[in-house]
This record gives sequence, structure tokens and C-alpha cells, in this order.
Amino acid sequence: MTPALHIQDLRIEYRLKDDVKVAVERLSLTIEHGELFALLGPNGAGKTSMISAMVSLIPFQGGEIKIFDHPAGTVAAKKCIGLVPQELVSYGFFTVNEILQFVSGYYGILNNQKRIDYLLERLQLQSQKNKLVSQLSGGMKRRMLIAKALVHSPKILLLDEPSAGVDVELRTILWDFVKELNASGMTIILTTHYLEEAQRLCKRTAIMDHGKLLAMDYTDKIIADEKNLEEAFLKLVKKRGPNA
Amino acid sequence: MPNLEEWIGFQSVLKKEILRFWKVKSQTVFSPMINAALYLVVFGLSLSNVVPPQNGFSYTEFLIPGLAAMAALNNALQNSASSIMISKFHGDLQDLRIVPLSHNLIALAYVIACIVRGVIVAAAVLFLGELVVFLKEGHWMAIAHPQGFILFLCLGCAIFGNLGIWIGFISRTFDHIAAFTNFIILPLIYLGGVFFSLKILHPTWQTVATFNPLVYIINGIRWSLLGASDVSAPLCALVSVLFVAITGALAWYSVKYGSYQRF
Ligand SMILES: Nc1ncnc2c1ncn2[C@@H]1O[C@H](COP(=O)(O)OP(=O)(O)OP(=O)(O)O)[C@@H](O)[C@H]1O
Ligand SMILES: [Mg+2]
Repeated sequence: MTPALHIQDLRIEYRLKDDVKVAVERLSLTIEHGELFALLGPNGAGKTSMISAMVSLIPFQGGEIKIFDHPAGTVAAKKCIGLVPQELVSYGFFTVNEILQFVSGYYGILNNQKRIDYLLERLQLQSQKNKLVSQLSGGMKRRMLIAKALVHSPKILLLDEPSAGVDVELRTILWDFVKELNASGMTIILTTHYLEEAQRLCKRTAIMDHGKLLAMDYTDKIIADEKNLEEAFLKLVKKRGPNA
Repeated sequence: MPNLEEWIGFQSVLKKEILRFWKVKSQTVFSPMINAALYLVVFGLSLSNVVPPQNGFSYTEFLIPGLAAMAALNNALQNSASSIMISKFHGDLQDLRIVPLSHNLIALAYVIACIVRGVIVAAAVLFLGELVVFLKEGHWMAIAHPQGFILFLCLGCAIFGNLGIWIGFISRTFDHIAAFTNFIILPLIYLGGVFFSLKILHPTWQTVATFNPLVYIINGIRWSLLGASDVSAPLCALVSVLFVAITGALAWYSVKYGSYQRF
């Protein structure tokens, strides 16, 4: 079967004024269709850069990225992906419902209100439906972005720290929803700094640092003899020193 | 040709862009109207007794097409430039890069929204102008070529909407947009014959003015409304279309290669 995501020898650079910052280097990984996959790493490891390259937000300087065999950036690849960005987005003039309708339209879907209502319901945002996005709290904005990533029922969902700033109760609701989406066949790639969440949810895990993979395996194999994923993570990362 | 899905996407961007300026219409539609009304009152009413008729029209009548053009062009430019700028601040410009929409359609949707705003503002200014002429001179100003008015307005707004897209992408602050507007666009507009007939200029300056694309748009609009202008209508149309093509390429390049990153 074609993998959901195939990355080969990826290299991502940021061109600064008098310097080149390498954010991802010779990184290869394959994620199968239907996986719930954790992408972990300390701050500045290159997770967001990798995700941004997958959705063609930033260019990459080497290697290839294929989404269900479609090169990243092509229409076919873009249709497959839903992205929940790490940074909150604030749509100044529009309500939650308006934005979700517009984004549905961007994907070529007309009359998507049923799906939008379902997502708002699941993410407990029904009462915020007609509020301006700029008036939502941080956690509500985060959930609105999750709904936005799902309006077109993507085959792959990229969650870049979806639980940051979301309260305990809603985090439970969020993870239940994520598990359900995954059970229905959606491939999910998750970055988070709550390692116990990753340990509980994800069968496979990749740990990266300084733009390179340190480990990629079944989560319990990565934990191996350590107490939990956090300990294993710290042990792997500590060897390498702080990020530039 | 775009397929159905792409058309739906295009319409969504267009709808969002139109709704964006309409939601803040006090700033985007009414404030330019008041601006133009001030010009009409200050220049039109007070100067029309002093300034001799231009091209055979009272100064107020002469002024109206120029003011309508100025308001339309300026607003067309502000529309795309500030929309893109605000989207970069909020971070939602990234949406357009992630979704499966072609650069052509995104650019087209932005420009059409600029045209819509420009036409609404121009129509409002024209209406005000008609009112002033009626109150002062006792007759409505006849519109010589209504289709020409729409045509030149659309061409002019397309040019300025395209420029606005480019400026929106290369600017990093609102000050950059203001600098472009104040140092380049407004002088071109003011020197393009809004307030005076080019015929009163020294021949050297008349030659210089022929390089100002605004001269052709403003004169095209003046020809449409009054039936007379400094530059012949076909030449105005030709130059305008040429500039739509040039600025269109610039806008397309900006949408394709510009940065969508928030800052
Ligand atoms: N726009 C940019 N310009 C220059 N350097 C950047 C830019 N964005 C990220 N970087 C650098 O690239 C590296 C990887 O950053 P990235 O955001 O991908 O990390 P991350 O793993 O997502 O971290 P976090 O857990 O903090 O979100 C960092 O060293 C960062 O400083
Ligand atoms: Mg990150």
C-alpha cells in the first residue's frame, strides 16, 4: 500500500542575512496509512519546519516529500492534508462559522454547513459559532483551528501542538476525538511536549533534535527499559546538548 | 480552464475579500465618500467661480470625473494592500498557501474585490457630484458614455488592485504601504490631471505627463462622463489595457513567489 507520508533525505534551510540556518537535515521517514504517529523533539528541533514543508508553507532545499505518492505542493497532495498550526491565527473581521465556510470553499466544497456544525459540536464550539474569531480565548481559537483543519475531511491530519493552552477537560475531549478520527482511518501526525499524551496515544514515535532523527520506532520499543517515554526522551536528547 | 472545485474556491476568496471591506464600510466606503465630498465643496464650489471652464465644462463638472477616478483607484489599491497586510499580521494568509487553489485564481479574486470596492466608491462620488451640480447649476450632469465609464473604472481599479497586491506582499509594515501611497501613487494621481486640464501645462510638462499612466485612466473616465478629454479615448483604453497586463504580471508573481509567513 502507498504510505500516507514518505519523506526522503529532507533538508530545510532558513536563509538569514549573513548566515544559513539548517533546520532539518537528511531526514527520512515513512508513515503508513492509518497511523497515529508522534513526532517529538525539544524546542527548535525542526518539527514545525518539517510540517511547514509538507504543506508547502516553506520551501525545502533537498530531498523529497510525498503525500500518498503525490509530491508535496501539488493539488492532489494539498487536498489530502489538514493542518493545525502551532501558532494561533486570529481572523480579524470574521466569525468562526464564516471562516469555516470560506475554508470549505477553498477546498471546493459548497454547502458544508452540516460538517461544520458537526465539528463545532464535537469540539464544543457550538456556542462560539457566530462570534468573531478575534474574540475567542486561546484554547477556543486552538479548537477552531482544529475544526478548520477538518472541514474537508483530510486523509492526513497534522497536529502541531494541538493541546497547548487547552484545558484539562477539553484535552480529554480532544484526544477522544483524535482517537475516533484515527479509528475511522485518518492518518494523524502529532507533535506535543506532553510526552505522556504521546505515549498513551501513539503506537509509533519519532524523536528528532537539531533537525535529525534520533530514534523512530514503536513507542514501547523506544521506552524499552526506561520508566516512561519522558525518561527515554530525555536520555536520547541529553546526549546531544542544547539547540542552537 | 479551472474546474468546478477551483471555481468554488475562487468564489470563496472573492466573497471573503468583498465581505472584508464591507464589514468595515465606514472606513472603506463612507470615509472616501466624505473625502471626495470635501474636495467637491472646497475646490468645486469655491474655485468654480474663479477657474475658467475647462474643456468647455464648469470647473465643478470637470472635477467630478477626476475625483471619482482618484477615489476609485486609491481605494482599489488600499483594498488589496491592506487586506494582505492584515492577513499577514493575523497569520491567516497562510491558509491560501495550504489550500489547493491556483495562484491565478487567488490573484484574480483579490483584484476583482478591488474593482468592486473601487466601483462602489466611484459610484458614490459620482452621485455626490451630480447632487452638487444639480444644487448649484440647476441641472444634472449628463453621462456621455456610461459603458466607457464602467470600462475605464474597471481597468483603472484592476491596475491599482494589482499594484496593491504587489505592495501588500513586499511591505512589512503599514508604514511601507503608506510610503508607497504617499510618495508614488498619490503624486501620480494628483499630477494625472484630476484637478486641471493638461492643456494648461507647459509643453515640457505635457510631454512628461504622457509617461504617467494615470493620465490615461483619468482622461478615459473624464471622456466617459463628459464626452471630452485631453487624450483620445482609444489611446486611453490601449494604455490602460497595457498597464493592466504589466501590473497583472506583477501581482501574479507576488502571489506565486511572495511570502505568506506571518510576522
Ligand atoms: N522563519 C525562520 N527563520 C529562521 N530560522 C527559523 C525560522 N523558523 C524556525 N527557525 C529555526 O529553525 C529551527 C527549527 O525550528 P522549528 O520551529 O521547526 O522547531 P520545533 O521543533 O517546531 O520547535 P518547538 O517545539 O519550539 O515548536 C530552530 O532553530 C529555529 O530557530
Ligand atoms: Mg514547533
